[in-house]
Amino acid sequence: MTEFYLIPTWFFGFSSLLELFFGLITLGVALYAFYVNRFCDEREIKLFGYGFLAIALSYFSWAFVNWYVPFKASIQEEIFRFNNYEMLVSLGVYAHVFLFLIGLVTLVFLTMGREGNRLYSLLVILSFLIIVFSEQKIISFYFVSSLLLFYMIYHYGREFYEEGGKHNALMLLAFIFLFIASVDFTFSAINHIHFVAGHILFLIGYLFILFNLVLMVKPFLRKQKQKNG
Amino acid sequence: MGKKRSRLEIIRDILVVIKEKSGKIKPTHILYKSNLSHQMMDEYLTELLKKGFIEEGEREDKGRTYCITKKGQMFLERYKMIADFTEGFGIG
Repeated sequence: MTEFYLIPTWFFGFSSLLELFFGLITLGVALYAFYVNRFCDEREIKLFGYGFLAIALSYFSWAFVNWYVPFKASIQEEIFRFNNYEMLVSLGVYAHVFLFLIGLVTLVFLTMGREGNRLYSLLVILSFLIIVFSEQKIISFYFVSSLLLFYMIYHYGREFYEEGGKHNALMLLAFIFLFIASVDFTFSAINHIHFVAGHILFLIGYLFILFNLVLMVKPFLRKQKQKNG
Repeated sequence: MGKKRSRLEIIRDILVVIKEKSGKIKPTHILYKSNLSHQMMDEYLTELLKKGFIEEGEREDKGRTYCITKKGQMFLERYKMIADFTEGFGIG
């Protein structure tokens, strides 16, 4: 089996914390989307919320795996192989892969502006077929993720080109970093530095999303404060 | 030529028109004020009824009329937040 990451032992605690942080940021976006959707009942906003919720859950699952593994196994070799660990860990890893791809496919589908389930089903099936039939599942997972993230760059790039604005710029930058991180993770089976660098790049990407969310929520909170005070 | 209105802007415009008419308005007035084709207006009104933003009423002298609901008023109050969200995340 070739399904493994190279992870520096010192990074296990940090990686769990970072994944938890990514999960909290994406969960924040999802919850805000659901809150906004309460007032407009728009399909796009609902889908956006579900997409980010899936990504948030995928990070919680990954954080759990990276928190759990060091307690259960000797990792002196700095190699994390899926098939060496118990069922719970494998489930956690596959839950991360499944939820992350579902989340990304949902976002890509949403940006295509199409209705109906056929295109969505096709995207989901194609994404998973590539992984299921691949011998190196981790590499194919990051390859598919990179493709989907690249499409998101195209979407926000076009939005920024046509509309401009700081929000589009922030989202474009966020997805550029997430894309580079995903490409970097493809090499995480070669050298552990890629696992660390991937996390740092993900962190920068999610910080841009967080900043965008804060910019959006801030005026609303200020208004609420004025109303109450 | 002005920028094409988004779906949310059209919904807001229809709701504002209904609200301005003291809550009761005939479809012909909506058509005139919201600057939409008949087919488009019908589609939007069906959607707004389904979402519970407006209610249909029947008056002997006026025929079919529409009034805005509490949910519709809430949409108008929160419109800026909704528009900021869709614009901010590029999903408008």
